[in-house]
Amino acid sequence: MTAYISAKGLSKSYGKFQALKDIDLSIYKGQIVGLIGSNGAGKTTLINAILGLSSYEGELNVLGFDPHSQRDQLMKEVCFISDVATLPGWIKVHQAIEFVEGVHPKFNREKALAFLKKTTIPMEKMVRNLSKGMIVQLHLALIMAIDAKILVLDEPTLGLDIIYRKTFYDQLLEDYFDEERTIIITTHQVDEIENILTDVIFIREGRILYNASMEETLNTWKVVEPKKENLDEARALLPYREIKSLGRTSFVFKECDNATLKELGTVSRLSLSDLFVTLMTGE
Amino acid sequence: MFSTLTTINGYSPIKALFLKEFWDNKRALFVTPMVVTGLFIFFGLVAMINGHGMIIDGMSMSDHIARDPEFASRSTEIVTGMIMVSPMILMITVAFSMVFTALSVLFDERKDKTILFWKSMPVSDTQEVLVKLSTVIVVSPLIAIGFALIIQFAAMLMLATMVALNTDYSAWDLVFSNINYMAVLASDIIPTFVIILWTLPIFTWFMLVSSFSRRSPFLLAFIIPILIIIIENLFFSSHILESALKSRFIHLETYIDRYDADHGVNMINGIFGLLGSFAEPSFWAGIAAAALMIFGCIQVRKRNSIA
Repeated sequence: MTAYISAKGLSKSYGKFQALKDIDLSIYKGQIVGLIGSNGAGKTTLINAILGLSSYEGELNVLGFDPHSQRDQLMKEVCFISDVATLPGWIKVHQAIEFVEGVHPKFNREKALAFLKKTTIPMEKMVRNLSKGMIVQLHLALIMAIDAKILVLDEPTLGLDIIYRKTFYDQLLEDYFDEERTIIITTHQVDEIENILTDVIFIREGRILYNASMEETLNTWKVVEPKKENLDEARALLPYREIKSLGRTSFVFKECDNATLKELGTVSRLSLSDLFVTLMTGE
Repeated sequence: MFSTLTTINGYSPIKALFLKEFWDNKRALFVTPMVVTGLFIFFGLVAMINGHGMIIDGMSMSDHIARDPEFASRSTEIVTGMIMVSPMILMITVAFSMVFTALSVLFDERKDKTILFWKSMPVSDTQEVLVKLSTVIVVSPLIAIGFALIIQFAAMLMLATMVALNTDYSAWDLVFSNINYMAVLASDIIPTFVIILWTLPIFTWFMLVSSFSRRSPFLLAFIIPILIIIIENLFFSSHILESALKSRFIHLETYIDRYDADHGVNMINGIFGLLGSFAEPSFWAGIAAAALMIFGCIQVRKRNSIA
């Protein structure tokens, strides 16, 4: 596996506040990584360091570049959408395409135009006159027309309605992703990206709390809703967490034999958001 | 020709960056001088139709011609001078819009967060800052000079019409064949850029403030130097900043005086004489200070992402 991003002892402080604490991390070619954490956990700080937008302490290597000092070269291989508000309001759609074509050697105008053709975005309009959904579609069309190795999406669907959010990720998977690329996504809408991720990283207070592949995560973590008579038996197996809601009781198990669990009641997979809550509140 | 300048086909980052600045600052760079030019021509026509005539040194032109026996011998100087100064209001307006552009050029992109989009493209902060600087001190004055030429052309036509209607002179003799065109062109270009180069540390200071200011860069840009001058005066009884600022204008003034004195003799020599001010050590001190501040802008932009 080729590591596209590797960090060792990566730290970042703002004054006395330590936003990142000694992070070790590798992200490989072909992964779709979900970077998940509460507000202020350090997601954006980590992403800014990877993108060369801020300085940092420790070692960080992205595609062989030092992001902070070589941002301009790195950006030939890395694309990012950091927030829906970043396309300038005064730019016209066709100017945005011309600009990216002018500054990016790996931009393919035909590709961008083909993506835009599927939308109703008029070429002569200014970005400030487009709807929020259109702006994201335009940004995505620009980014997907760039032949980059890493794509970073920081809350890309913030403020979008559900239909746009759905097509956003569908399009990303169908028209963009392949095993030569890596995608990193941060979002609060964990459930929406759950089924497209290959790997997941939870981050809390500047530290990595959990880092595993989705496959491993699904095999390790299970939820069991036992029949009433099996409740005590379930508790005896030392579940990671007990959840009571609407009069039902269920248990979260870590690394427990599937057959044993099945005897207790219905076994299901633990959703990422539940895993997140479990890990954040547990221990 | 114009369309090859304003469209992008394929990879050409510097051109794309300049176009981006043009699109972004179209109002300051293009619309403002265009409006001033339109107003000048409009009011010139109104004045002409109202028959007020042009006033030179407090007298109408026909009075000049009637009373001044030397007018004929000085007419080239007077007529060329009139054409030269006709874009004065335009140039002053553009100077102001250059100041405002310098103050906003590294601030607005942080305020509206578009800096994150610009930084997602493979262009260095050095390229961005240098293009922004050139937009302020080269593109803006070049566009202004273009409009100045339009104003001067219009002024010439209006003057010729007036001469033909109100005097016994022929418009060809007094206006068209009488103007020192080379001197007019030189007076549009050379003083403009000589003044810009002398005041470069001031423009780069405005850019530096716009790169780090969290709120209105306008206030900070003036408050900081004023405070420094006051503190210097009160506590150290020194005047380093004050005299550095004054030197931007004093040295230039002596050259402009000399240029005015030369005017009657040989206009072109007078204008090119301004270039002699580049021999002053304080000119180069200013250029060095400007370079330092541009370096500062680049370093700050590298670290900044959002205001």
